[in-house]
Amino acid sequence: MPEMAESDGTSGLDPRARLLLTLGFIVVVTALPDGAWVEMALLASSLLVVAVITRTDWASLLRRVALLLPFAALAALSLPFTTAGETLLRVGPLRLTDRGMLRFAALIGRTLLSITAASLLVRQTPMPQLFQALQSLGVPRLLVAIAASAYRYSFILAEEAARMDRARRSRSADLPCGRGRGLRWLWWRARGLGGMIGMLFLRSYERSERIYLAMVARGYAGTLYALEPPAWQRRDLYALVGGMAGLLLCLLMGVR
Amino acid sequence: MSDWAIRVRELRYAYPDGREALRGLTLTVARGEKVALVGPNGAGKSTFLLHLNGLLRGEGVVEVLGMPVVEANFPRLRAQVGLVFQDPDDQLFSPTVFDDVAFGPLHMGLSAEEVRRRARQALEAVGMLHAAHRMPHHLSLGERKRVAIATVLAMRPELLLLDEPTAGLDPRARRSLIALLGTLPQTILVATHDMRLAAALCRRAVVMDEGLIVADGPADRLLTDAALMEAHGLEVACEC
Ligand SMILES: Nc1ncnc2c1ncn2[C@@H]1O[C@H](COP(=O)(O)OP(=O)(O)OP(=O)(O)O)[C@@H](O)[C@H]1O
Ligand SMILES: [Mg+2]
Repeated sequence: MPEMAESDGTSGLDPRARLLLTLGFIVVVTALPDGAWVEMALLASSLLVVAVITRTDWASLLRRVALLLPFAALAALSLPFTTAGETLLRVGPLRLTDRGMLRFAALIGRTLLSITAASLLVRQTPMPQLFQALQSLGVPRLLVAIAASAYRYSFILAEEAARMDRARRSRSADLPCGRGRGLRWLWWRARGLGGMIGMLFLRSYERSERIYLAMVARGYAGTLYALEPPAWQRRDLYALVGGMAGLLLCLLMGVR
Repeated sequence: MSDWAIRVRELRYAYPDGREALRGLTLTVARGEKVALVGPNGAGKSTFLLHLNGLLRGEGVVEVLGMPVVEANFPRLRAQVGLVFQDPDDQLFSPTVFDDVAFGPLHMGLSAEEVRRRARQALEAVGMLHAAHRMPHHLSLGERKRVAIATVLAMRPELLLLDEPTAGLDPRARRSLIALLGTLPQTILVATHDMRLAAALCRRAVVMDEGLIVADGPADRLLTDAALMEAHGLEVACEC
């Protein structure tokens, strides 16, 4: 289930500025050359500052990052062996090189920083505001509407599933094969689950159709309209320009 | 301008799976009238309401606010007919409560300022202004129900169609909703099993069963007719 923002986000930096700064951050992190450790440390400490200012719940932020890290590590696993350079270690036919290790470490660093930045954004900004920010930054309306309904429907799907599961469990105190967890029990559960998944899609499909009717009933005829977002505040503009300048500086230091 | 808010003749409708939900229903409602539509589960109440703004199309004549319910009239019709669905989860689809309530007025082409004003007023009327920036799917059933009603109130429709508006509301929310509906000048057709709502809000009651109108008359007489109510799976409006 999608993650929830901690704050109600009505105070603080304009969501558009947050979004742009996060994107800028990720671009800079990606563009930094391998081995720009000082710059990476600077970027990391800027994240730290943001997290402290916004009073982010550290434990759960780190848990989320840790959850995604193995995937990045797995994707980067071949780097130490495939990059040309001085051999540090031989593992069978594979050669571990110094340049390879550097690239591996840099990639992990980049991934860590990017994921943390994106998680910070999502934790501190309610999804609706992010969607609105995307739209007012010029992302096509239809694209935003699709993303927003995907988000909305993910809840509907999850709720529908939870409801069905509750209904099933409250009626299945008696297992047909006693307490044993043998093959027959597994088969029985699997059959139940298969039916439930089919049912879930049918129910969600019908519900989505009814929601469409509700939109039509309130005047929707194929075009989505939205209220214009509030005007930019001077404070948000300063923060945006200042943050971008800092990021650019960091990038210049790194590539020099 | 005609005096009829609703004029339906011989309306028949069968769902795609063959189930005949309406079997020649005839009903007229005058402008400004508040009418209770009662009947057992499966009588066809919800199905009927869906015909009144063209979401379902059956055989027969359906005229609403002087307009035949045909494609060409849909934009005007849907701005003037507010339908609150039985299940609030079917009605709420926006990321925030406020956006959802603003959706109708926004698609009526009102100015941003007017949209905001109406959305706030409607939320205030159902006592949900404090939840304006919450996500609809995080609200309790009764809260969602109230927001669903606000989404339609914000459009200030001439005809309000309410499907079980009090189901899931706590007694206080229910009383304030009844009071609110009572103050509205609009024509209201309310499908309900809540006999006290029907008795408190409506002078006229229509009993529906198996896709037909089986009784139509003053609410105080029909809703206290024990034999009639019993015959159609209902109960008399008691202790009012
Ligand atoms: N989508 C559908 N497909 C097939 N049949 C349906 C569908 N929706 C409703 N029906 C059937 O049409 C008949 C009328 O249903 P409807 O929902 O209009 O009843 P209702 O009077 O609103 O009942 P309730 O008091 O339970 O809300 C019922 O027999 C129902 O089974
Ligand atoms: Mg119904």
